[in-house]
Amino acid sequence: MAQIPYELTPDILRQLELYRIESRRAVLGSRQGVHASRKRGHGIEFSDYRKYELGDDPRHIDWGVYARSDRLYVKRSQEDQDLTVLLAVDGSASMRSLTGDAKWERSCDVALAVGYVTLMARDAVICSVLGGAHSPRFAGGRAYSHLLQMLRNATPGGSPDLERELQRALSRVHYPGIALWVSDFMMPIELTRRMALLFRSKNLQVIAVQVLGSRDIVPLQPGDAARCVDSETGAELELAMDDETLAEYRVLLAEHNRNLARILKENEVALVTHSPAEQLSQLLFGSLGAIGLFR
Amino acid sequence: MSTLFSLGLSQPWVLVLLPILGVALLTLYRRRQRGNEVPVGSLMILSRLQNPRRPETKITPPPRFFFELLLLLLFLLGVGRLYHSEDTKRVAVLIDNSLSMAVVNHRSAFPKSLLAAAVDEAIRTIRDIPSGDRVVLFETSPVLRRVTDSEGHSAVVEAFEKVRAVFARDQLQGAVNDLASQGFDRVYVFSDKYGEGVNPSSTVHSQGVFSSISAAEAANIAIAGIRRVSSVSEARREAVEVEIAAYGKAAGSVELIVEPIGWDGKVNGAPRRANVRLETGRSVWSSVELPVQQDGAGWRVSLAGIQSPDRDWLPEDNQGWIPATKRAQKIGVISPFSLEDLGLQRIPGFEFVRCEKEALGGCLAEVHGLIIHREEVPLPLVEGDAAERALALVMPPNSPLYAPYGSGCSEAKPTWWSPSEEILGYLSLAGITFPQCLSFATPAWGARLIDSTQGTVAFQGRLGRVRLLVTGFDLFPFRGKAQPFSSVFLLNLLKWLRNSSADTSEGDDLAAILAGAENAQWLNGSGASTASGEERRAPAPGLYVISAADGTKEVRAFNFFAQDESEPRVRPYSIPESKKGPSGNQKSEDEEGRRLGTSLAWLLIGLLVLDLLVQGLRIFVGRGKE
Repeated sequence: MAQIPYELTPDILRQLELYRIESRRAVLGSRQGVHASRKRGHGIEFSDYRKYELGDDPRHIDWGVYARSDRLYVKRSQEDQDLTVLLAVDGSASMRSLTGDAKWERSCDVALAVGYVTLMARDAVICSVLGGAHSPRFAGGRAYSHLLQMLRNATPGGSPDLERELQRALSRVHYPGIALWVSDFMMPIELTRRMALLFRSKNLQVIAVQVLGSRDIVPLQPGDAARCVDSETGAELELAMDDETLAEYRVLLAEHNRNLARILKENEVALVTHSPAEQLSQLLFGSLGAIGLFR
Repeated sequence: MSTLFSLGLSQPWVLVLLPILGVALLTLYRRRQRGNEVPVGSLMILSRLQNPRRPETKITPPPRFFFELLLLLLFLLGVGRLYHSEDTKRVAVLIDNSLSMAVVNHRSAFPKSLLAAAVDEAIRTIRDIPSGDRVVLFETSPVLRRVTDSEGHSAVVEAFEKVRAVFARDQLQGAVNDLASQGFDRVYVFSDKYGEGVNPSSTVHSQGVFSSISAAEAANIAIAGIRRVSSVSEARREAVEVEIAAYGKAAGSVELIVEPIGWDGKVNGAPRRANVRLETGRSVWSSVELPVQQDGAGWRVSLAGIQSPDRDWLPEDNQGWIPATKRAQKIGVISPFSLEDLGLQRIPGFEFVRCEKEALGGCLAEVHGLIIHREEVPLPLVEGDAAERALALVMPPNSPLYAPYGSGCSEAKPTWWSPSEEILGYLSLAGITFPQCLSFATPAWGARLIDSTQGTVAFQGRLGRVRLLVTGFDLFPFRGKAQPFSSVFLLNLLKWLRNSSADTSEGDDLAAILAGAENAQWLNGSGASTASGEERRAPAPGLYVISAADGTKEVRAFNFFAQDESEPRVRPYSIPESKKGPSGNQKSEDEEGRRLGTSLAWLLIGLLVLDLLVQGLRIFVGRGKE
């Protein structure tokens, strides 16, 4: 079987080096970084004043205010800290590339691209394949190779308990940050909702990327008859596809996606839908930029 | 077309698998044609379709389906051992139902008789016989008898229920010879005997069932002989001498009981008892005074005190019967000399009568023993069962029946000795040099008696109930009336002859008497019953009150004392050579089955290779198109 090429080429990586992860919220980090932190400290950007208290560093006293008001105030600034990005990639069997459409490879590419941008900005990445491996905290540009190796070695399969797997992944996240959730979301809406709530419980800014394979969009071509086998449960469904059935399927899929978008929106999760048939660069520099992940 | 009709299956049940496997194959094709298996990420959306259209269920089997069905059929025909026969075979199943087949191995986990084991084995064999063949069941005892009227397999299997071990010898050698000469294509023999001398072309196949029992561990206690003797005591009471034999590992003490039996068949007086100590492999004569009875039918002799069945594998032979009335003991003599010349009338205790060779049948019906002296042995005696002739001693000289043969008779030595033979208790031929040595062509059975296969000298044996002695007396030259030949040797020969005439009968003889009797009552110790047809054919031990057509009554005792049947050991017999050649329709269905099976296997392999080639070509062409 021919190896499906990964599309995260050096050209795209070079372009990605121009981008930074944009956090819409103030973050908390463990080290100094470039992202505005919830912590008040001694950054460049002014935040507010506070009355001088015993023990404050006299260097932070705003002498101008003292001259005007004869009171001691300490000038406070927004502290810049590093950002932790959680890459949560659905590793269940439904993510397999069934028709050579590179559904799994594209999902990995998306995660790798976001991870690359994060690491190059000296931020931290935690990668979890839900149903597979969970990485330690990667930081620094050199860690990209580890991330790359981890995702290239990962293989989707089985029918994992996604909720528990996500809990396992989130247990590694200690500070509010960003989470990239890559899945086909061909799962019950209720499960999606519970998983979104788990993200929220960690106060993460979540961007969901729905990667739909060609067979998710068109299971059978009109005129084909087959026994459709669920890749996760092994359940079978005999089906003779025709235009009418395909149209009905598309309606049902659209309805599912609408419900998905609604549920995610309610839980403050931004959703991007993507198909491997589309260009990867279109997703990275178009859709993800549009929702403000990159700047 | 006639070839097609002559095909058969050794195991036709495999045809049942054809529809099952055919349906399985069809199901596979249907499943294959229902549509390919297409994996999808999830059926979640698909399962919500309101009216999904199912694939068409109508299928059209491709040519490959019929090809695979043909392969399946060939495979099943091979498994079922297809054979080809020109005509149906006649198969005889001969089951030994002599007394020895009632032996039960008490040392096995599931004790069952040899007869039951033989029946099990026979049923297994019959199941392997092609259904088209005609199978007939025979039993050996008391005479060779066809048990089944029809010739179907199931009839034979059902008829095994009728087969019972009877108080008779097996006559196996004669039975096998008879069946082999009756034109059966195959004879299966199930016996505790062991068939030897197997000829590759023989139609007889023997199956010994004794192999399930270790003869070395077998044990049996039996009454081997009864003599009614006058007591020398002052009371002038009569006594009975009973020979008790311990076969195999049987040993220890037993109690000998003699009970008077009344006309009602029940014990009607106080018994006499004696304790007898037995040694392994030995027989013991024990004497007990006959209990007094004024008016009774006879006495029963039995053994008691055998506590463990492991000591006595055949309890049926633990009894003997003595009729109340004494009968004269006649010895027939065939000789060129008169009885007076031979001086036989001077020997007390016997009544000698002259017999003529030409009227041997009538003579044998009257006598208990027969001496053939200096006469040619009548052919029927020579051609009989070799196993019945236990010992060769003296030959009739210059007999034209035996042509002199060769000059190596100085090397002729008696080599086969049975310590249980009574005559050998008094005689050892090992030290005898034959003064006038002649060697003779010999019947096949004579080879067992003399080391040299060149001659035999005489024989002693049984002819039905009659003990037979053939002698030329060359070792003891006859010198006329002045010196009758009452040597120790002769007296012992006569003693051996007398043992047969203890007022008892043996099976075949009594059966003949019962067959001609108007009425016969069987007294068995617990009561009296009218002897049925089956009991007349194969009598059981007991006293028989026989009423003749003229109203006269007499009591006959039926005893069955036979070492061959009571001693648990493997006894050989010879399988006769087939009278048919190995070619043509005499080929067994096994050989046919093997030959056809091999052909089928090659055909199957050829077709499979063809199938693989076609498939490979299809794949190759398919790739080329890509």
